[in-house]
Amino acid sequence: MDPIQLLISFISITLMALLAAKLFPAKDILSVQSAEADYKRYDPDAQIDTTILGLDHKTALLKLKAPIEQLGIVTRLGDQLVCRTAHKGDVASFSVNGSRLLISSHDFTQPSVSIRLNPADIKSAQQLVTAFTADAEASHGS
Amino acid sequence: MEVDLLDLGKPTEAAVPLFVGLIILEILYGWKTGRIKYEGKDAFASMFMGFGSGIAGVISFLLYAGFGFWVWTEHRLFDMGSSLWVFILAFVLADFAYYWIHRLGHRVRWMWAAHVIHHSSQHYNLSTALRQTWTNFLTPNFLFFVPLYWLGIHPLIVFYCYGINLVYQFWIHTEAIDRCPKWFEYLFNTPSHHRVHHANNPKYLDANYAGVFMAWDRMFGSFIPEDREEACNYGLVNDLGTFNPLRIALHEWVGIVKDIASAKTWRDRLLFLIAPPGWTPDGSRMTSDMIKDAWRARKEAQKVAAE
Repeated sequence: MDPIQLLISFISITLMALLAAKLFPAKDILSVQSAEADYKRYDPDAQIDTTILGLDHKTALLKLKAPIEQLGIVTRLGDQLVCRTAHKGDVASFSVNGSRLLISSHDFTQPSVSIRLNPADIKSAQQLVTAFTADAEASHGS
Repeated sequence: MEVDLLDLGKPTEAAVPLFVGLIILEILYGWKTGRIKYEGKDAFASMFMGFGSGIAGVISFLLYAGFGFWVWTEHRLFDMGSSLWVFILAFVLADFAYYWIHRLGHRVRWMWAAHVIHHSSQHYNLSTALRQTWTNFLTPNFLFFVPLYWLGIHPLIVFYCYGINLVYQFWIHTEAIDRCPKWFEYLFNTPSHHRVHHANNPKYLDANYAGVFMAWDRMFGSFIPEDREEACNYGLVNDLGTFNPLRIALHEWVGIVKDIASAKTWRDRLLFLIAPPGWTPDGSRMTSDMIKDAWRARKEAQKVAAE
């Protein structure tokens, strides 16, 4: 392993990624419609009741009519969407910081998601997430 | 004519300037035409995984070389030499070995834990080709080349041909090329065939494992052609929520360790390692077979409802 060769490789990788980022700026792609459509692709049997979309369009929480014991979470990662289904106990904890709800889970590739909401939505989002939290009483604070 | 084996270079290292040049061309072509999508962080993660794979690959190479030379020296049946036809034979047999490594890499969770990295991007472009594993040395992949050494093919010839095989697979990671000529599509792995392999649509799961020759998929029933009516959606059934290279490299291994730690019986512990990805004792997660079955059932129900 030639350190110079490694350094040149790393610099090349960085420059190519910067070029890609410059020419393909990530667009705001998360909306209620796109979140619901992608979640339906991910879980075709799901019936969506309501979708709470974050003000920054980075996260959406999906309350399901069926299966009722699941919570849908759709997040924006770069220019793509990532769907998750939480069952009871999958949410390790959550906390509210101003207008932001921070949800922590045991998911290794997505250990936490945050969603910025207006005060009215914060309350309903908290209620929704509580049902899927491992130890709801002990987990949340504000 | 015999080839001096010490003159053989490493095809994957020699091809790096070509990889860089083609990626830049594809980025510019995609920007100009809108036919290809890149995302900066995703592209960086993919290429950084390739960078790390090159470093971690030293351990794999020592394992492959050590084991390969031992089998070839101590247990070979013939000495095939190093003529041109031996290279051709080695190339075909290495591709056959690759097919089974790759197929089992999707069907056995232990092997999937290493290979999943390559499928973890939701993009399909030339940078995705470089998104390679860091943990190949933890898999039994090196065992698949034993028959070649037994036959008396020198390990350096096997490594060289396998390297060419991997270099070939670079160019097929693109949406810039729609279809190649029919005869080429029939014989060889192409962007169209490999798009299907990277798609997570239920229809396309577990298909087109070939490295170079499509004959293996056609022979062993794993060939699915790209359907113009069904656009490929790239990535995993459960896409990763991160661009962090360490999390990308290790996530499935972490999942295996967690599952084994929480398993109740030794049978379950073993199956968490060797059963298809998604297997659980209680069926609470879905394997690709279960996903395909559910998809077929939905299609059937839609058909009945339409009638």
